[in-house]
Formats: sequence, structure tokens, C-alpha cells
Amino acid sequence: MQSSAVNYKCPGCGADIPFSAEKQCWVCSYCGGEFQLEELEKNQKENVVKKDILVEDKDVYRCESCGAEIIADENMTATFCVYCGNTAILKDRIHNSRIPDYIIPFKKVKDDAVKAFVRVVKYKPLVPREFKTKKNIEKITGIYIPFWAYDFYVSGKINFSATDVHTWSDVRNRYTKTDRFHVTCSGEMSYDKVLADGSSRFSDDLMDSLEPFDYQELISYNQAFLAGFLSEKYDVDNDTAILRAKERTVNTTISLVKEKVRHQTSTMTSHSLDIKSNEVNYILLPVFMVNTKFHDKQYTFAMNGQTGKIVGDLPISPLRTILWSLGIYLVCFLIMLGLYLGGVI
Amino acid sequence: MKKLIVFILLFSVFLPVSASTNTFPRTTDNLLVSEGVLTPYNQDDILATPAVDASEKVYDFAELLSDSEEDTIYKKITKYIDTTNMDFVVVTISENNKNSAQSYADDFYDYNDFGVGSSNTGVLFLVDMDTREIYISTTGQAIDYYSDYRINSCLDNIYLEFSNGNYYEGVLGTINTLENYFELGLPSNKDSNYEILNDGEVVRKFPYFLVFGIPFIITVIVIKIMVSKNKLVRKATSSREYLVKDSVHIKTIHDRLVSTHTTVTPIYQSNSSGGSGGGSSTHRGSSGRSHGGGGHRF
Repeated sequence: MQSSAVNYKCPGCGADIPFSAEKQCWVCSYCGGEFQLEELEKNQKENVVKKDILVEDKDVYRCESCGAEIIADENMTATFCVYCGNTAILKDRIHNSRIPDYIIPFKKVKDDAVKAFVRVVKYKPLVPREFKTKKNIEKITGIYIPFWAYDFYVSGKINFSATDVHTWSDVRNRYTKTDRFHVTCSGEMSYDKVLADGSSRFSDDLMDSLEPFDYQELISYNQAFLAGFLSEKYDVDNDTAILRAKERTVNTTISLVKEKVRHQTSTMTSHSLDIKSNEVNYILLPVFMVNTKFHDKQYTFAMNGQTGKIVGDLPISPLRTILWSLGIYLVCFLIMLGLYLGGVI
Repeated sequence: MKKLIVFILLFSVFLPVSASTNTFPRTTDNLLVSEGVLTPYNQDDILATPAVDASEKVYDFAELLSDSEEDTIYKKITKYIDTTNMDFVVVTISENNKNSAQSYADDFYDYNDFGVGSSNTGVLFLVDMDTREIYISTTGQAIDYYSDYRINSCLDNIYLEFSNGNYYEGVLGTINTLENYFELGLPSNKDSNYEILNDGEVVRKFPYFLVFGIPFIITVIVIKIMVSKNKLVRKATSSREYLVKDSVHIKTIHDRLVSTHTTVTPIYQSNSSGGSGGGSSTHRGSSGRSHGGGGHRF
């Protein structure tokens, strides 16, 4: 049976056993047994299953509408596309995918995502009141999103033109002395696992906004963590994703070097930075997708499944914006009027 | 000595009965001035200055005011003196035998018995039809109360009345303005928050920008912040959190001065220490006394 190849079995009763984010171990929903990875692996080996095959043969649901590919295990059945909401999805099989190098397991549960959503809209006065209720949450889905992580070594030279301005005055005149400098700095530095979104389904900016993830909890990939969650296969290849990662790394390098220029203002004129990618890792990171529907429009939020940080653009009510503007104006106006009448201004 | 002058003034047999202004003749033997203003050089200046009864307050040599107008102005001055404890004198002349409105005003004040207290505190308002100039001369504590800013504001507001021949309104407005300024206390940089109405009343300007403009700017800023709080999605432009701390080595290879230049801007110092603050510029009259003041052509 296929399912037996994909999933770990409960060493206690033999049922499929999913990973519990809450307890940070595997909990059998039938017998209630709690197990660590070593115990499962030991049990699995005894059942003589080859790990390499596991990854290459998994269920994949392909959305007919947007083309998304969602990997589900036997515990999960995807009944709708998490990206576009379409229900017409086809079950398929995945072949020859690259095995992820690392994974950060889920630490948050669905309830945390609901709470995070409620919290994030709570003190946003411009969000329509009807949007703030939990009712709008259509679906919360835990997904492992594929990321590329690059180890970079950057070295090279950067040229700056810098300026110092000094002013002083005597009894008769005010003097302004402007000195211009050419500054060249050399530098080298390394970066560890700079992330780039490996999924084309989500906007890159949305995934950027989920950062940072705590790499302390980064562990070697084991597909047992996927149990109970959806996951996605990367569809943005290495060559494309690395451009984004390089861009932000170059930005940071320039600004770090710029801080070392000992002048009042400096602007970069040119650079010859060489950026080497020493290692590329394929990482799965835990994300809760919170799909909400409001006035027939989809609003997608994403929550970092490790830290609980929630991101997404909230709707803005024009009416509330106008009312708040009027209110703020009126309050400020009355304060100023009071200050005038009180003789302060 | 002062008492002696008063005595002489009161019992003078030369009291000419005139509809307008009474003056007493001065002679080299009897200059009719107090000792304090006598210097070895100013005898001619004293002789050229009319000697008058200091209690009349309104000296309309140029005949610009009717008797009833003079009366009203006198009452207004009485009120001014009560309120401020400073003297106030109005003089109109059709011929100026001194070299300026300023020296006429100062001499007229100094060589007659005007002023309150030892510092002779008071104000003289001169309408000089000869040089077509109105002039405010201040003495004693009046110098402190009427900064250059206040005097210039007053004159700028009132001179058109004189251009148009409304001398009565102009004189009343001036007294009104100076009384109002006294009530505001000593000059401060808040004086620029006040404006003078046509009748000379000094009222606080309505700060349109502060009351209407500032709240608008605050509203725009606050709403912008509130809208930006609803945008939680931002592109990552930095990799700083992935930087391996110990791996950073930065060296400055060279740091070369390519050009330098210095610009020199002269600092202009205004003659008066005024502005809207407390400054009053002073000068000395022929008597050696300090006066403040200012004039305006009309």
C-alpha cells in the first residue's frame, strides 16, 4: 500500500502517525502514544522501508485553475487549492524531486493563526469592522513552503564620493567649508542561508515579510515532519531565486561598508563586488496560510509557523478613513483653538 | 528749581490769551528749563523751543484740530496717564525750526516740564506738517515699553490717516495703540502675534495656519501611518540578519581629498536691536537725555 511507504506508523498501534506542532513530537490520534523521531525511525527500519523512495513517490494535487502543486500525505486530503481557492484539483503523483536539505518544523497550531489574525486586525482602525470577525476566515492551512537558502561569500572594492561640511562664523562673516573626498574600501564578509522564495504561487514580497526564521531550530530534513501538513515542491529554480538573494546581499554589503566611511555623507559611485555562492540548500519552512473572504474578495495572510508573525495586506474602508480623518482633524483643531483662546499661541 | 519754574509759569504776567496754544518767551537770562537739561552748548536749542504750560498736553500749533477735538484728545490722554503712569504729549507744528522731526520732538519734551518721576517717563507724539512726518519720542521707562517694533507697527498702521488729513482720528488711534501696547506688558517676541486695527486697537492675530493648517498636516501624517500599518507586506532589501558576524573585514584603501572650497556669507547686522522682541534703539537729544522713538513720512 502506498500510504505505508509515505508515513511513519505508530510504534504502539500501527496507525499512521502525524507530527504535533504543539507537543513537538509525533502523537498517535488513535492510541494517544507520543514518540520522538528516533523511536519512529527505529520502528520504521524494523518495517523495512527504504527512505529514498519515500520522497519520490508522493501524492500531489494539481490545481486546474492556477497550476499549483500541493503535496499531501495520507493524513491530509486537499479538497481545494490553498492558493486560489479552486476546488477542481487533481490528484497526481510526484516524481524525482530534489529532497529538501533542512526543515523547520511547525511550532504553532491553527488556533495560534486564528489568534494572530484577530490580534493583527484588532488595533487597526481603518480595517472594516465586519472584516475583523473570525467568521471571515475561510480556511487555515499549514504548509511547508520551499525556500532556497544561499551561503554567500562577498568580497571586493567599493568606491564612494564623500563630503564633509563645516561651518563657523566670526563677527562679520559666516563660513561654509565643503571638502570632497574619494574613498575606496575593500571588504569581505559571509552570509549564512540567505532566503529566497522557491514557490511562484506566493508573492515573493509576502514570503520576504515572514522572515526572520530562527535557524537554531533548523534540522535535517525528515519527511516525518510533513505528516499532518501540506507541503509544496519548489517551482522557482535555483538560477532565478539566487538573483533576489544576491540583490539584497549586495545591498547589505554596500551599506555595511558605507558605515565605515568616516565622513559626514557618502554615496557609492561604483563597486566591484564578487559574490560567491558556496552552498545552496533547499529548505522547507512552516507557514500557515489564512484565507479570508470579504465582500467576495480574497485576502490571503501568511503566518510564520515558527515565530507566529503574521503578514498580509488588510483591506481599508474608505468610509472609516474619512471618518477618522475628520475626527483627528477636529480634535487637533479644537486643541489648537483652545491653545489660541488660552493665549498659549 | 522745578518749583520755581512752575511758579514762574503760573504767575507769569505774559499769559497771552489765545484760542490755540499759549507759549512763554524764553530769554538768555531766563531759559525756563530745569537745571538737569542745561549743558554748555544747548542754549540756542532751548531758545528755539517754545515754552508751554506742561499740563495742557495738547499743543496744536499747526491748527489741525478743533477745540472739541482737542478736548476729547485731552481726556484720552488723561486716561492714558492714569493707566500707564507715563506722560503723554501731542504736538502739531506747521514750521519746523530744528533740523528734523526727531530733534524737535526731543527738544520740546526736554525743555518743558514733561514726564513722570525722576526718569521723566513719557511719550511725545509730533505731527510735523513742515517735513510731513509723524514722530513718536519716548523717554524714561517709555523707552522700554515702546520697542522699535511697537513704534514702527503703530506708525505703519496710522500714517495713512495723516496722509488723508484725518489728524484727529490719527492722534486718537496713536494714543489708543500705545495704551494697548502698554497693557500687553513689556515687549516680547509674542508682539508679532498682534495686529493693529484701524482705530488703533491692538488685538491678537488669529493664527490661521496654526489653527487650520497644523491640524491638517497632523491628520495627513497620522492617516498615512495608519494606512501603512495595514500594509504588512514588504519586500526584503537587506540580508543583514544572515550576516556571519565574525566574517566582516572592511579596510579603507584610500581616502583622498579631491576638492575643497569655502563660501563666505556676510552677516548683516540691523541697526536697531529690534525685531519683534524687546529691542529699543536710543539716541541722545541736545539736552543729553536718552530718547527712543521713530517716525514715518505721510
